[in-house]
This record gives sequence, C-alpha cells and structure tokens, in this order.
Amino acid sequence: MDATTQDPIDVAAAWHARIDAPDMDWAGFGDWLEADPSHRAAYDSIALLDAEIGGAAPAIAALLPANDDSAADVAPVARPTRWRWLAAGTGGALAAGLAVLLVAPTLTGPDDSVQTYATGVGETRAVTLADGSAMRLDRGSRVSVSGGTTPLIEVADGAASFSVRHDPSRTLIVRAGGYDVRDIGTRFAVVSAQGRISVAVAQGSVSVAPHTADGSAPTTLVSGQRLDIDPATGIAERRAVAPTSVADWTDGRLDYDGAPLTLVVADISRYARTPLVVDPSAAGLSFSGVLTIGDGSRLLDQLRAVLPLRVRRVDGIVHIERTGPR
Amino acid sequence: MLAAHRPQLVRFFTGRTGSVAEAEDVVQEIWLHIAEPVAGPIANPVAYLHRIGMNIVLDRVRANGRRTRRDSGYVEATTTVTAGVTAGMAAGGEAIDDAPSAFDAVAGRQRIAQLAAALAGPPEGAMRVFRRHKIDGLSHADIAAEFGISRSAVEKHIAVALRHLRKALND
Repeated sequence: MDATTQDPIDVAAAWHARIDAPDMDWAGFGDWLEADPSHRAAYDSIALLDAEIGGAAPAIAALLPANDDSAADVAPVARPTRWRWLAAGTGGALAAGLAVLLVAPTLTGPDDSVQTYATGVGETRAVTLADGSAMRLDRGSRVSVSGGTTPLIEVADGAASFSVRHDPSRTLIVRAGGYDVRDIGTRFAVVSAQGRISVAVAQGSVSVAPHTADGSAPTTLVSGQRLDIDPATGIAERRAVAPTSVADWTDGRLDYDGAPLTLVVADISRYARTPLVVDPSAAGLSFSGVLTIGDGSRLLDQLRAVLPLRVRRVDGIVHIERTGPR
Repeated sequence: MLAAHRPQLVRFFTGRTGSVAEAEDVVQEIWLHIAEPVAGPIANPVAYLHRIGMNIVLDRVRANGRRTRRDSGYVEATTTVTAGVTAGMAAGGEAIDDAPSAFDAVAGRQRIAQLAAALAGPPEGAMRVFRRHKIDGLSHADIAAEFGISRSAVEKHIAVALRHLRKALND
C-alpha cells in the first residue's frame, strides 16, 4: 500500500479493517505506525471511533431505519445475537454517554391487573408471561407483573431471570429499586436485594437507567456483562462475566471466575439469614469456582474451605476477615 | 511457546505507543492476561496476542483522553469493564467515577443520533457492509458469504465506511 501520499486517516482505516484477517501483516502495520506520529494519532482516532460505535450499537440500532441490510430481502431475520464485543477477552473501557432508547411509555392503567409472585427459602419458580417470555424467580424473591401494552415487571426483592422473545414492537421493562431495565430481546437477570441492584446479560442486550429521569445517561449492557449498582451512592460497576454463569442460581449454583470477594459475598447475602460484611483485610481476595446454594446456610462455609477467611459474629452481623500472613 | 513472540510484540507495540518502555509495559500486561485460562484452542496465537495488546493500548489512550479532558474541566460519565481478576490482585479497573450530569445525558443522546445519521448516510454500499458487521455483529466471513463478495472486499468497504465516519463526525 502506498502510504506516502495518502491521508493517514485513510490508511489507518484500511489497517484497522484488516486486523482480523488471517493474513494480517502486523509487522507492516507496526512499520507504518512508527513512520510518523501522525500515523499513530490517526489510528487512535479510528480505533476509538470504531470502539465507540461498537459500544453504542444497540442504541444506534434503535435509531436506524428498518433493517434491510441483509443481502436477502426476505422476512426479517432476528438480529444475530453474537455481538462482536471486546476482542480476545480483555477488560476494556466502553463508550461514554449511551443514550436512552425510548421515551418511557405509559406503564400501567387503572384497569391493568397486577400479579405478584413470591418464592420461599428453598424454591425457585418459573413463570410464563403473557407474551410467551419466560421468567424465573430465585429463592426468597418477590416479583410483580403488571399487564398493559407495555408489561412492567418489578423485582421487589431477590432475583429473577428473563428469557424474552424478541419483538420490536414492544419493550419489556423490569424495574428494580429505582432503576429500569429495558430488554432488547434477550436473556438476562436482575437482582434487587439489600439495597443493591445487579443486572447481568446472558444473550442480547438491555438498557439500564434510573426510573426517575435525573439527567444521567442510560447504560447498555450486552452479553457477558454485569452491572452492580449501589443506589445510595449512584456508583455502578460494570464487569465481564461468563454468559453461561448469568442466573446460574437457576441450577442451584453460583459460578465465579476471578470475582472480587465483596461481589461474591454480596451475592450470597441474599441467601444468608444474617447480614454479611467483608472486612477490609479480606477485600482484596478474589474467588474462582462454583458454590452450591442448597438451603443457603452453607455458602460461607464453602468459601472458607478455599479462601483464607475467618468469620466473627458481632451484634448480629457476620464479619468476614482474612486470616494468616498476607 | 508463546514467549517466542515476545520480541515481535515489543517491537510492534513500540510502534503503536511510540515508546519502548510503554511497549514493555503493554506486553507485560498481555502476559498477565493470558495467565488466565482461555476457553478453547487459539487458532492464531500471534494475532491473538496482538489483539489483546491493541485493546490494552486503546484503554490507555481512552484513559489519557479522559484525564486530559477532566483536567480541563470537562466531566464525562464513564464506565469501565473490569475483567476477571488474577489471584492476589485487586479488581483492575475503575468504578464509575463521575456522576453523570444532565449535560452528559443530552450530549449522549445527541451523539447516538449523530452516529446513527452518519451510519444511515452515504456511501451506501460501504455503510451497509459496515452496519452488518458493527451493528448486527456478523463476521467478515459471514458478510462475504451473504453478499457474495470476497472477504477483502468486505474489509475495503469497512475501511471506506470508517474513514467517511471519522471525517464526517470530525471530532
């Protein structure tokens, strides 16, 4: 490629488009980048834009005209669910400022019925919604479902997973605490427990935003992402998770791959009978493995079997501390 | 042995970052990343290692851009993905560190609308291929098969689309 007279942006775009090609010439790309600082800057700008678009893809998709992009102009094909997200599994920053997809519709009218589902300590429950979507409640949870043109589901306490049939004409909204999760034809799970909200997506994507518009931009989550929100501070953390581990409580398991102990303890707190607190001494630990939920009473023991922990009960609160030399 | 690729990676990332020291740093981080088990066999180890490094560099470029803007008074709502943690390390990422403002919400919506308008505009053929890849998530090979064109034609279309977007959006 003659790069001497071309705009670096053009050359950068050409290199970027070839990165995944089987015959990608990394050495040649490196030479071009090295040849002039403007090349590097041009490439940064192309790569950032490409990543931004990728991150905002669901939000952008909602604004594009009806999809006629496929070569075959037949009945609309369901959007492929395999999102090209981060290459090769690195943690990467995502684009800022993802916009809300839809104006909040009227959610429930006076004639709409509200149905509440609740589960006890040892049970999970499967519910088929009016549109054919599947919802499953975790142990000790309470969820209400309102009818109407836009079904509203409220996770009042505990956790629920959703497998939603893709229907562009309507949106499922799941409310948890002060947040709304809007589906985009997906499988995802929502937790609202002990003042903490968590949303994880197994397939497809969702948009998460505070229920009462407070000016903050909604966040889009795609397959393999989990968002944990502390409403008190408004701080949310996004992390990568294995899509297969989303709502693994369905199978009586909690599955982690290098998750911070604080996250694991927050999850198991839903099944514990007393509040659990992670002492700063233990906050740096991480856990990889599978916990069996059972009746919820042995989760902490399972952690203690593999991590250097000790527990102390003080005033009805269980403190989890690190033992042994650092 | 993946370590055999190390010199090649350092050389490439020196070009990519402009600094040998930073390249060494990036390559170290690549090695930390691959210390975690990867599901399934890797078809092309060299490309895989480069791509991991490219994402690491992009994160740094983005973070530097944020720091510069923050220092100049621009507040941006950001989120960071923290990948799996290696043993002994604390979570290697940031939680959302700036409370989003009303300005950000409006700016965010405008940006999405701007991106969508650019993606729906000309050049038509290139943008169609680009949307199929970036928005619909198809691989280059799948698009080539679907449109009955070569893989390299798909890549050319994507390159054309990207450079038009970059120039049209002009930020």
